[in-house]
Amino acid sequence: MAIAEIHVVLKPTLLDAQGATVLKALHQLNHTQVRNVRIGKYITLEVDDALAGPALQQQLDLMCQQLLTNPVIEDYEITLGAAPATAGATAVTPPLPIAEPMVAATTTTNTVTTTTPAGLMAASGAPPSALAPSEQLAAEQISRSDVGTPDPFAMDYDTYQALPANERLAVQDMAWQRHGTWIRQQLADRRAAWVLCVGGQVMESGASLDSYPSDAHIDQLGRANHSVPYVFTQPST
Amino acid sequence: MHFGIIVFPGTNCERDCAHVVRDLMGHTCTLVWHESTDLSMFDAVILPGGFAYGDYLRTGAIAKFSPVMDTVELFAGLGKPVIGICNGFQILCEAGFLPGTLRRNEHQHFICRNVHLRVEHNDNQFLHQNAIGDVLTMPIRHGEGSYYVDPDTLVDMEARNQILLRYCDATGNVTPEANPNGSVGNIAGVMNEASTIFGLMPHPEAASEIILGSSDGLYIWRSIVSPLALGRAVTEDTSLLNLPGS
Repeated sequence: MAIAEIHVVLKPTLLDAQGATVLKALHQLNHTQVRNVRIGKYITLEVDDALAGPALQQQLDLMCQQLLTNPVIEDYEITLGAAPATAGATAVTPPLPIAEPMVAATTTTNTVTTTTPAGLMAASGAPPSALAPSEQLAAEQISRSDVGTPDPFAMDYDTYQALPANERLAVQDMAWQRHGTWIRQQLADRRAAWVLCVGGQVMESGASLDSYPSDAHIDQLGRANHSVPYVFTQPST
Repeated sequence: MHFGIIVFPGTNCERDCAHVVRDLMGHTCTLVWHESTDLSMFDAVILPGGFAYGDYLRTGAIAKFSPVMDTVELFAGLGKPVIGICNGFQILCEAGFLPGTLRRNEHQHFICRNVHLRVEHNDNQFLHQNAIGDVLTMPIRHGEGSYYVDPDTLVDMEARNQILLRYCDATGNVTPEANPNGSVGNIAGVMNEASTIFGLMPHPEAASEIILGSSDGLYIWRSIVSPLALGRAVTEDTSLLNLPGS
């Protein structure tokens, strides 16, 4: 895979009115040492390795002349390089969710249906015990208010699993209240019916509820990442 | 006369053109989707204004590859009139059917207002209802209407009477102040060498009824519908217009 970087520039004899306007604006910002501004375009193409060397160069020239530039007013320069090493990944999701204003944790303000994997709930049918005092405190804090509380996305999976069922539900609610905007954005960007998030990153998503992940799969991701796996679906509003 | 009005994804002035042709001029027209390759039933073709393909990359850059454009070229090659308005003009330039290109307005603003145009040459299909020096008033609505062509080509174009309209003041003086967008030579409309394709940035279809402020656009429409014998035979052979696979 090769990356072709193409700089499209106005022919030097042409007046660049946009550049002149930007120059004035720079001067108004006191960057008076700038003498001239010209504005062009930067285009990158990812190209299969089917062609290389002069043949590839020829094809790229043709692309520039046919479509990517207007030869009447524009010149171009092509730079060829190798693609970066990351293996065919899809778009990177933002690791840090958008912070939302803190809201008191009351279930009535929650407008969404969160689904707690039934298997996980069943798995910890044991009475709420065996929590270290600090974890207990943390769990209580979560259920009362999320002001100054730890981010549900950062919660350790073992801690989560040790919580009683209702508190695990509260953690889910907390995630929605705290990160609802980001969650909705992830759903919208992917046109997804569900997204599976671990540690504040979308790991998987699906276009319909038919592909909703199994409890075992969700659990596996949680254990592998030592972080609570959340599956969010489109709000019913 | 039967007009074909081409519609690209993003075109938005086709219905105004249809209204003029049908309701004001009493002729007929059909809207033609840009994938069609059959223009055989038409006597004239309009490429209307709008934002074909969202003006992505450059205005008209992608529309020029639409299937209909080859047929438009053949259509004009048969001597039949093609008029490109605003975005239509931009597409014709990108396709190379007209010389030059339309650049971003000099002052970077989208301009929507009436302008005055001076008729430079009337010995053609599009302006023979006017006298040279006539001042026409019609609206421009564009952000990229600054006409540019290299100096050598410009000289050729002027020698061949291809500059049809220039921006002017109310009394017909072609001045820098009357130039709304920085077009070279105040050029508002040009024609190809064969005198079959006319491109202009102003909108004659929006100046065909007094209620809209001017009816000067009607001169152009009337010119088109009254074919002018210019010493060239308009061939009746339309078989080339039905490209295979249309």
